[in-house]
Amino acid sequence: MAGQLIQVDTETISSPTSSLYLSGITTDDVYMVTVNDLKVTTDNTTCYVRVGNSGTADSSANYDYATKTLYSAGSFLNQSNTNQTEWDALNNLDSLAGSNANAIYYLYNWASSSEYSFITQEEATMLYITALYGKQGGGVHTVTQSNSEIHFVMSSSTIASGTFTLYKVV
Amino acid sequence: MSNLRLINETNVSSFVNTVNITDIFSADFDIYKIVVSDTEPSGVPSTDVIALYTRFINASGSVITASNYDRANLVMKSENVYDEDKLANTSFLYARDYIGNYTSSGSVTYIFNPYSSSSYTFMLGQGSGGYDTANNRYRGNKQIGVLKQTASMTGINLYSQNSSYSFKALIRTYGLRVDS
Repeated sequence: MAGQLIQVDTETISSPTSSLYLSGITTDDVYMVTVNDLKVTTDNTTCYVRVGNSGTADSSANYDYATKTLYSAGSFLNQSNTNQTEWDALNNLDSLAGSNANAIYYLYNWASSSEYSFITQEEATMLYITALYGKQGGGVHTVTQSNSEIHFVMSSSTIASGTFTLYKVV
Repeated sequence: MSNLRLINETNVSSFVNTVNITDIFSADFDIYKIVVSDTEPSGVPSTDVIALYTRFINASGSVITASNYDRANLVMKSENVYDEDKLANTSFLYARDYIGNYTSSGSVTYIFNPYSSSSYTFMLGQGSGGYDTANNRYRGNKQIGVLKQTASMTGINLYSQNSSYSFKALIRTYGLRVDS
């Protein structure tokens, strides 16, 4: 039956780490990534997203994105940029007890060496001022290269805990 | 075997203005996908579109009505400018479903950490539906929300914004299995 999820990789963080990645994107299928109960060590820090291979994130300036941020404490935000070194994601997180960050990403064409890699993002997080905040939108990595990994990299400080899972959509 | 596991299917086949779906969240899953489809309205005039609201239900079976919900909801309207519905410390979340006088609507919502006793319960989702034939008022929406309580939730309550208007719906709840 279409729309089923097959787990490919998962990482549960139980001791602080500044980065992690999920691997196993090897086919032209659509892949889905979940971020669950992400907690950060330090207030107002961001967890960026990048493509990667062989355990190394691609930090070249080839990331474009366009998002609408839903926000409970102010006007919703249109945020876009080109030629960045990462996708803007999971921004300025709150470290208070109870607060956490969650997301669903879909990955398109990542295994293809002749197509750009696209991502859609849906996030529900708590901003560091303890306000509901979540980006909705997507981005593209404008390089025709195969990418087998998705990397999560903190802007500073560390991820305290969280579960990251990669599924293939079949 | 798929990691997307069907937990519950509730077919609300008689018109109601509120429905409780209990015992769907447990320690077995951290992320849930709720799909609402086949929504049918009753009593809604041709000039109106109303929302369905949602709340969580705790392990004691009580609907959480405390003002501990925050929401940010982009309401996309076919006949008017979009609404930014945003509110903190309110007593409910919008469901992603709207009902007009025309069948029907649907939505997909993800719920995060409802059963956790140490993390807030978050949701994100989107819906399409609600249509009144007098004014061609269609509603699409994209929403995030949070229940700022660190208590275990085991179910959801879905209810009509206006108790005079009722609905039918098919509500399927899935768990996203993580195999360590």
